[in-house]
Amino acid sequence: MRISRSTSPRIGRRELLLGMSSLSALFCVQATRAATLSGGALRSGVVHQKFMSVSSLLVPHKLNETIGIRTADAMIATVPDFPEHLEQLASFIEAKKPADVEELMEALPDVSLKNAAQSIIESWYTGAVQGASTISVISYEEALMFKVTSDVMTIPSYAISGPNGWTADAPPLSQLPIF
Amino acid sequence: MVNETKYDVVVVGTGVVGCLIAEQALDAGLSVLMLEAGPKVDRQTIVENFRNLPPSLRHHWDAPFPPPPWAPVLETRTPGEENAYLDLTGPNATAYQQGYVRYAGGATWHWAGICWRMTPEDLKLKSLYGVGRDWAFDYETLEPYYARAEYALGVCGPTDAALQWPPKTPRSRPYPMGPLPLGPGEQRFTDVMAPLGLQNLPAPQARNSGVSYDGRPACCGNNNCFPVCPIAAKYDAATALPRIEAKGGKLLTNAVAYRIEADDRHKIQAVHYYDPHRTSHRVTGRAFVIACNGIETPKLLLLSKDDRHPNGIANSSDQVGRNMMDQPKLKATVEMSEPLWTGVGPVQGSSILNTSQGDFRSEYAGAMFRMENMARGSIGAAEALKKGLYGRALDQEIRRLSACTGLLVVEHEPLPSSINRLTLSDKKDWLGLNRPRIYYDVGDYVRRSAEQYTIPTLKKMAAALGATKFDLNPEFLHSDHIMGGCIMGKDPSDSVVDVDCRSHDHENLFLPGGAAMTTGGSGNSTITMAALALKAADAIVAQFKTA
Repeated sequence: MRISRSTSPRIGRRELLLGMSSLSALFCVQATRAATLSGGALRSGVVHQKFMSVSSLLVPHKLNETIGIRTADAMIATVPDFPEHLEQLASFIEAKKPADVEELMEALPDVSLKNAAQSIIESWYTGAVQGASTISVISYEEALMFKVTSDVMTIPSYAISGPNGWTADAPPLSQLPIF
Repeated sequence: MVNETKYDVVVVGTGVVGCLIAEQALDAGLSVLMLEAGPKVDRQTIVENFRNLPPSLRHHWDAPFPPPPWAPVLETRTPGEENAYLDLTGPNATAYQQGYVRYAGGATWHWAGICWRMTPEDLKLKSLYGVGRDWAFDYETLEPYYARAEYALGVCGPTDAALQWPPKTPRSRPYPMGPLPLGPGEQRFTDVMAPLGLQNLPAPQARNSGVSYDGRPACCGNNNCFPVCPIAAKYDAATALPRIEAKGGKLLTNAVAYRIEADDRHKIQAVHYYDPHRTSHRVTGRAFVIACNGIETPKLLLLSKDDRHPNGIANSSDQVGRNMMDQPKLKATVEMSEPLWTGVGPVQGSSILNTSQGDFRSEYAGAMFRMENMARGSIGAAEALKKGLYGRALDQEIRRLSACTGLLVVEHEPLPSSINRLTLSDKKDWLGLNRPRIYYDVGDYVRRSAEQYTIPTLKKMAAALGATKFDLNPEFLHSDHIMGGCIMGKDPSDSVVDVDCRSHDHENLFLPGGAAMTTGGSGNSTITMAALALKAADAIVAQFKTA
């Protein structure tokens, strides 16, 4: 496999294509067809609204709509059968009206829908979308995995206090932050 | 072929060693040219590169530093990629997968900033314990240079002598700044280890503590010292380069040195380098400093062989490329019922060093132990998500795994051994230059230490922490402290450089840094490299004065 690499030291913002199947690395910048990452205003379409609606049940936290739009676009572009799975999840929720994610996951009838739901949850927590052959990085500091410990643990590269402003004190493990 | 102006001092490499010497030479009124194989890249680009990585790659310290084709380094982003540059062989090849950066600033971009001095005993392994070699000078000779290096880099450290390293050893000057506070994880680790007789010391570290220093801001605990400090609170050579240029130093980036040219009288006359268009250039000077790390320096010397120097430049002893060292590292992940809470403060802020000293060193290696202080949120999340959790159970498990797990690390002191050798591979890089081939065996001294001493100690530490799980990776790993390839000694027949890191064979060639180190000790090598750099700088300046 040929190495295809820019001579620029800059890694392209948010979109990385990783060739994981050979000894060499394919590591280059790729624009997705959704082209949502140019920094312009993002507009929410029907699919995006459906994605946010499904996400709000799957992930019981405050969700950032801009990140949701970008995540949905990356999933449409890179995750096989995503639009169909999203449609099925939305229909199931509409019909069964589960009270929370626990009830929904218990009730989902097949593995592929459970996996689709799990991959949506994972994208919100990691800030990245695992596609068939790509990983799309959507957000860093807004990834929900950091919120779970935001009362004590640093988001690497972001300061949590100031010069010598930290101590050995830590809050109780059981005290989950609200986010 | 293009000719450049003749400089007093030509420095190959822009890491800590090259920058310290360049600045000393400029301050003494000498003209300086620095050659750097890679590009000059701004801090924010590297920080953004890091944040834009897929989560699984954010612990690959090489990943935010994609090399240009002409300045390759070992990369680990995809399986097998680590074999594309360093040609590693031997029973512990994995333990020599050294990470470094070929950018302006060198590996200081992603060093941990830790500055343990070597001890008086570390410099006398042969006479005290009958193993390894003795250094060509004693600790008292090195001490003033350690102090200067601590001020040059801006090292913070404890004011209490009982917490300083080496123990009971006079310091000529206090640290320029007091210690950084410990977060909850390192404080708990310190408290739990003390009854075991394991003294977890606050690390001397090149991070600004509470105040700005040398034009850089105070550390704010961004917990990202490697792969890159986002605010330059940690010393990195990239912050020294603008000052060097302001003082009149000339910096040439994307200039890959590939040949050192000596004349009939073994005096070095020039360095040849390729630019990214594969065009060769020749730069001339009066003194030459090769400071492009412990792998690239011996590689360049071996690449420079000619009719008069058939084994390479500086290599009449046949010791160039031998004695390759690093501290072989073992890692153990522990899980506990009680939270540790790492991830507050710098990624490394303390270590246990009293385990590195003792008469047992006649039998097996001393070692340094520590608990990594990196935030473990992303590790906890990956594990929790793998379990298929969701809702409140997912949040609780991420929090538990982030807080109640830790990484224990032990780094063993290496012995210099002639079989651990860097040679020129028959495989070539993008420019057509031979890649480095390195044979590496950690040796029985380290293996005995792991079996009899360090692994049992790791298990005791885990038990004291209340570990419910102890997962030891039994494979020796690299610590990225590249040492030994141009070993220092008094005897030109079995060493490469003298006490000032001057080549025994070439009076105007200096090879300072990790490659010159006679032994490695258990601690991080940078402050010793920096001390040797300042000693070499003094010798260079003195040589010009007497010329």
